[in-house]
Amino acid sequence: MTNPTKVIVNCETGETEVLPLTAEEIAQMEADALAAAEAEAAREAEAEALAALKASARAKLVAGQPLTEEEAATLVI
Amino acid sequence: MANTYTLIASSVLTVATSSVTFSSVPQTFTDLVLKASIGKEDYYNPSFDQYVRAWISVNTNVVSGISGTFMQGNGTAVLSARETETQWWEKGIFTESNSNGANILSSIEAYIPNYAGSGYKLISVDSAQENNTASGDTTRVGAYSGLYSNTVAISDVRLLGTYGNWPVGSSFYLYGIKNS
Repeated sequence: MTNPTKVIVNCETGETEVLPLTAEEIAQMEADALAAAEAEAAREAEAEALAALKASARAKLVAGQPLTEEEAATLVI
Repeated sequence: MANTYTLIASSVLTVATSSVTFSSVPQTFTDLVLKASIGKEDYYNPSFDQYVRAWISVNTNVVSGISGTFMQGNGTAVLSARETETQWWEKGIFTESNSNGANILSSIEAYIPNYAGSGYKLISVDSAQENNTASGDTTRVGAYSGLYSNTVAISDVRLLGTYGNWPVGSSFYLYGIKNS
C-alpha cells in the first residue's frame, strides 16, 4: 500500500489540493476501519446464528419434534 | 420538484488518494448530490477486505449526532440494522479491495436535501458494484438512510476510504439542485 493521501476540492475557488495524511490520521483510519469490520463481523455472525435457529425450528416442525424456547421464538410473532 | 442540476465541483483522481473532500460548499442551492465511481482500494488487511467501503461525513470535527438505517446484500445474504455512529455513515456503502474480485467498480450516490436549512440534516445513499468480467463475483448493493441530528448548515462533504488509496481515474462529482 502506498502512503495514503487526501484530496481537498475547494468549491469556492475551484482549487484542488493533494496532501499526505499525518501519522495521527493514518492511525485513526486504521482503528476506525478495524472497529467497523469487527462490528460488522459480529452482526453477520448474529444473523447467521438466527438463520440456523430458524432452519432448525423448521426441520423440527416438519419432523414433528419439540422445539426449544429459542427456536419457537423465531417462529412466533 | 427541483428543476435545476448544476455541477459545483469535481475531481477525477490523477494520484491515488484515500479521501476526497468538497469544502466551502456554496449555500445557494436547495439540495446536494454527490456521485462517485471508485476503483479498487489498495487495502492492507486481507482479513477484513470484505468490509472495505466508503465512509461519508459532513462538515469537520463532527463527533456525535450521526445515525441511520442501512440495508445491504450480496445476492445470497441480506443484512439490515439501525445504528448510531459517531462521525460518518459507512454501512452498506461499498467499495472493493485490491485482493478481492477482478475489475470491480463501485458506484455511489448520496442525496442531501435542504443542506443549508435550519433543520436536522438527512442523507440517503445508495451504492452498487459492477464486475465487468464474466464471473461477476463479490458484487454487492447497499442503501443507507442517514440523519445528522444538528441544525448547522453543511459546508463540507467528504468521502473516505477504509484504509488505503483509491486508484487514479476514480471520479467524484458534487452537484447542487435548486427548486426554482
